[in-house]
Amino acid sequence: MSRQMSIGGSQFRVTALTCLVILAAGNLAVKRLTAHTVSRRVLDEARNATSASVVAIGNSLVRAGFVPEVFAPAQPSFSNTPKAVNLALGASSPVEQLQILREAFRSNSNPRLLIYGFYDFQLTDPVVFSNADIIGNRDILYYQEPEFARGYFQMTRHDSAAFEVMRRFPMLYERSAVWAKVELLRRYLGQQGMPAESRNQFGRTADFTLLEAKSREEFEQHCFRASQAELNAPVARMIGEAQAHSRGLRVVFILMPLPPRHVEMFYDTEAWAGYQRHIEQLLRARGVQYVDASRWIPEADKFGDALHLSDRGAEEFTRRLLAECAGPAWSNLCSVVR
Amino acid sequence: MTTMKLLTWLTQSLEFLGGSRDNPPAGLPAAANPVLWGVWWGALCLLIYVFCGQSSKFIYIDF
Repeated sequence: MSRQMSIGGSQFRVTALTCLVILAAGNLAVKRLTAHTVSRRVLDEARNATSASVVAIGNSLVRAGFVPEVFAPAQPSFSNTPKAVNLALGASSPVEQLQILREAFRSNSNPRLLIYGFYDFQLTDPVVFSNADIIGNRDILYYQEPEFARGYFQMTRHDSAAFEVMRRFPMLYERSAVWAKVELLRRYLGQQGMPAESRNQFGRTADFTLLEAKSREEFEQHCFRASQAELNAPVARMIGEAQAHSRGLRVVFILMPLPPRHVEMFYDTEAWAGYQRHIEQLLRARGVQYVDASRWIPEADKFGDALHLSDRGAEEFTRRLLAECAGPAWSNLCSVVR
Repeated sequence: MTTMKLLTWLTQSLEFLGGSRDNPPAGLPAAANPVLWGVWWGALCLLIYVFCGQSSKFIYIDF
C-alpha cells in the first residue's frame, strides 16, 4: 500500500514561515557581510574628509590616476586629515559621483578645488539604467539618497518598480557582492592549468577593451550626436552643487590621460576635436575650467590596461597636474595646496 | 549489502526531494515535518540566489 504525501493548510503555513525566516536570516547576513563594500568605504572617506582642500571625483580613471599624497602631501604638524582626497569610484556613472560629492560637501564646509576627471562622452551621454546594470559599486544608487538619485537616471517603468522593491532588501541590492565572489571562484577554477591572465586592481585587463567603442566610425558617429547635446543632468547638478556650496571653490574638469592606442584611434579625429570644443564651451559657460590631459602620458607602458594608468603613470600625471595648475596659465588654481 | 541499501535510500530520498518520486523512502526525517521542509526550501532559495548571477558581466570585479 503506498503512503500518500499530503500537506494541510497549517503545515504549508509553517513551511512557508520557516522558509521566510531562512531568507530573512540570509538578508541579515548579506547586510552584515557587505557593511564595508567599496562604495561604502568611499562614502566613509567622503564623510571623513572634513578639511580636505582638494576633492577629486570621477570613475576608475581618476581612482587609478590621481594620487592625493603626491598632489598635496599631508602636513602632520598642521593637521591629521589629508589636504587632498580621491573620492573617485570605479565603475560609476555621474549619478553615483554626484551622490558621493553631496556626501563630501555635507562634512566639508570649505573645499577649495574640485577636480572632476572624465573620458569619452561621460559629460553628455544621458544616464540610462536597467536594474541589471546596477551591480558592483553602482549599488550606492539603492541606498544613498535613492529618491534623490532616481531623478538623475532613466529607467523603464518596469525597472523603476523593481528598483523601488529591491532597494528595501540588502539581499537584493547587494546581490552583486555575493555574485562577484562566485564569479571569482569560477574564474579561479577556470584558470586551473591555463596560462595566467593579466590582472590589475579592477579586474582582468583584457576586459577593459570592452568599454571602448568598437570602431573609429562608431566613435565618430557618437561624437556628432554628442556635439548637439547639453551636459547630462547629474554633471550639471554637480557643477551647480559645487558652485552653491562655496564661493571660493574652483571646479576643474579634466579629460583624463588615455593610452596612445585610444588617443590615436578615437581622439585624433576631427569629430572628437569638434566634440571637445562643444564641451569646453558648455563648461566655460558655467564658469568651469576644462583641461585636456588625454595626451599627457604618451608611453603605453605607463598604463595598466586599455584605460587606466599604472601606479607609475598615475604619479607622473598627478605631478604634472600639480605643476600645471600651480602655474600662471591656470591662474595659480592649485595654490591652495601649497 | 548495507552500503547498497544506503545508496538506494539516498537515491530515493534525492528523487523525492527533487520531485521525481511521489513518496518518501521509509525513515526520511523531513517527510512529515513542515519545519524541515521550510528549511529545505529556504536553503534552495539561498542556493539559487548565490548562483543566479552568472549572466552578469563583471568587468570591474576587484574594484
